[in-house]
Amino acid sequence: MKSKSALRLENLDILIEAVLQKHLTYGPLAKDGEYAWQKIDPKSNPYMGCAVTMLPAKHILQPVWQDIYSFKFGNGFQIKEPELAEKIALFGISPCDVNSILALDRVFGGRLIDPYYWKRRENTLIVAANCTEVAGESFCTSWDTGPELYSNYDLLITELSDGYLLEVGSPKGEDVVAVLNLPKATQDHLNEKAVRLNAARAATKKKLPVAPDDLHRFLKERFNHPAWVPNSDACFSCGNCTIACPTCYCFDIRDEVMPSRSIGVRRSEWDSCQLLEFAEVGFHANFRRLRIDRFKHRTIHKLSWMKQQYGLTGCVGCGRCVRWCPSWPERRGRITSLADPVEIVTDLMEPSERYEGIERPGGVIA
Amino acid sequence: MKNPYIVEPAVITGIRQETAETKTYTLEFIEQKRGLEFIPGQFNMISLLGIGEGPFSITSSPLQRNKFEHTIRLVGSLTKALDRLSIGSTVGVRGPYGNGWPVDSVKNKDIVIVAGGVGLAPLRGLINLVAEQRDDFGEIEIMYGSRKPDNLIFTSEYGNWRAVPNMRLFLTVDEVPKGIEWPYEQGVVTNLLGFSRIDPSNAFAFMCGPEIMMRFIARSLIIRGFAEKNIFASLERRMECGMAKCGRCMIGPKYVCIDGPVFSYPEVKALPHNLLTAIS
Ligand SMILES: Cc1cc2nc3c(=O)[nH]c(=O)nc-3n(C[C@H](O)[C@H](O)[C@H](O)COP(=O)(O)OP(=O)(O)OC[C@H]3O[C@@H](n4cnc5c(N)ncnc54)[C@H](O)[C@@H]3O)c2cc1C
Ligand code: SF4
Ligand code: SF4
Ligand code: FES
Repeated sequence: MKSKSALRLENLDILIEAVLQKHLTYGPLAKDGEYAWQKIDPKSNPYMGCAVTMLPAKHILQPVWQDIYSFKFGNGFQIKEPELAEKIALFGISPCDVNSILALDRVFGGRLIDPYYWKRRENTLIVAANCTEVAGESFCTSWDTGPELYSNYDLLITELSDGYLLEVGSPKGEDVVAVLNLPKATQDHLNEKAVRLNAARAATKKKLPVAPDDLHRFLKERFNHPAWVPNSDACFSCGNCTIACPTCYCFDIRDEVMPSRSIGVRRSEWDSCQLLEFAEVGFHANFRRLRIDRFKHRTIHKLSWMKQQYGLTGCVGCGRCVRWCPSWPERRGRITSLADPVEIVTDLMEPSERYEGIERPGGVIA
Repeated sequence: MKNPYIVEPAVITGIRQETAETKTYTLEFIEQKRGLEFIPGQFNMISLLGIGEGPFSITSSPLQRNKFEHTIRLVGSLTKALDRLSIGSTVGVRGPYGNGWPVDSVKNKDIVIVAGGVGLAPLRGLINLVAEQRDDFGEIEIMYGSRKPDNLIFTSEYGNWRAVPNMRLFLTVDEVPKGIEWPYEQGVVTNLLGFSRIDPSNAFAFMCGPEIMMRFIARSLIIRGFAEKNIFASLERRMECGMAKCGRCMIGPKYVCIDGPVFSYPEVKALPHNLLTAIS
């Protein structure tokens, strides 16, 4: 999808107001010294930089708890589906997070479509924001999932030295900006965008040390590499890395019955492959009882298997797992965290394969 | 958009006690227009609203569509609640899911069926299909083992199976309690393969049971001369959705709920975290 038009935006407020007209709008707002996806109003100040929000926006499309349907007993049972008609906007979503939504689209789409995710998705306006600088834990350039978004947006914001460039990517986006009568952007504005994003790219030092197309072979060959052992030994199996990951989608289904015992709901709830019970079947048989097996499952699913299943990367390089892994890095003699895909892949390489110029984030504590 | 999570009400029209902890239920959709079209080895998600939902193989013959059967062993909360139901009770059903046994590729071929315990459940539909369409298949041998004689399921049908031309049934149990008469074999199910009269070079083997048991069966089959690609296993994994959404049933890059539950031996060999071909 090539952008149809490029416009010039003086300040965000008028765009926020235009989006708010018809959408329940979420944006990355400051919270507890971090950023979090929250509902915004005309007075909010969503962050347009590389806002690696604590949780990605996936909970807006696939809530942590979600009613699949409610049911009523009596003469068998009656089922009632929830109504999801609301129009949603994700205002200021980063390129990597948009790419993660494209992966979720394939998971929840396919032959049997998950109607809850899709109704929300179809009703979602994507107002993306390119990253003119990249957060320290992120390695989006390794996947080309950032800092620039090339397609799959309704509107795309790039911060310039003076105001913003606003690109329109779809009729849905066109509808929102039509009333604003914004002036066209000039070639200078487009040039500045390119300069700024190239600078952001160049400044991103953190890199996956194996080419994405080679990861499948690399991880397959090293499935039994000894480096998995100390890494998974230090893992708490807490599941933070999967909860924080924008492409992790696993869930549990459970029923709740009201005290009257005549009505109830069937709910889905986020789950994590890192938890011991995740793969347990009858008589406590468990095919990933060992922590190392769960640790490998998460890592390789992100870095290789999801690509095989869906044709899109299961890691977009956002760096959230790096930030929220509580594995007390000091204990391992490292500064960075255990869940970091870059660290895990580097550990699987022989010293001779580690080419010059890759920066191990933080290096090794002497 | 059709909602694939919605279950349809089905009434229990028959219950047969198989063992102390296993029953076979006959189900009919209340909406009678809809029969169930399926391949043996496929499964349904069965719900008791308010308690939960779980995957259960369809155990009846695919030729019979207006009613279908499930054979369910008491394991935990859902199966305990199912166990308390009586004729006339309603359950929720969605399905069928999964790939089923490769029925079309075994037409006119000899098949060895090896099962342990409740693992015979997903194979019963196939056995009865062969019985009903006898001329479409080659020789069939059923090798079935369980812990004790009173753990065997489908005992009321053994007479019929034995009466089918070129269908042979061999039974074994791990232990025979004192005072019980047991005219068949004792020992592990792999021992039964010694009775096989089927030429393995062009035959197929279908198995279901505890994964570690299938590991030994597969080994024996390969030693006997079965081609790895002709050996198929039905795998059990934790399932919540049955349609490749919840991620629970994944083994490596495969979803057991849509890519399986039936896999060929070489397919399983390429997967991590299984007990059939790899320890770990
Ligand atoms: C493809 C397939 C076909 C199956 N066919 C049959 C069959 O024909 N007959 C039969 O008796 N059993 C069958 N099972 C196993 C059956 O699904 C489980 O025994 C049942 O879901 C347990 O539910 P529960 O609520 O009674 O147990 P719970 O109280 O929930 O727990 C008991 C144990 O069962 C495990 N379990 C719970 N839910 C599931 C689930 N959704 N999937 C797998 N394990 C689960 C739990 O981890 C726990 O260890 C099949 C399983 C699969 C995957
Ligand atoms: S694996 Fe980590 S870096 Fe990759 S997308 Fe998930 S949270 Fe982000
Ligand atoms: S890798 Fe880190 S965040 Fe993930 S489960 Fe282990 S300790 Fe938790
Ligand atoms: S059962 Fe949900 S993905 Fe297979």
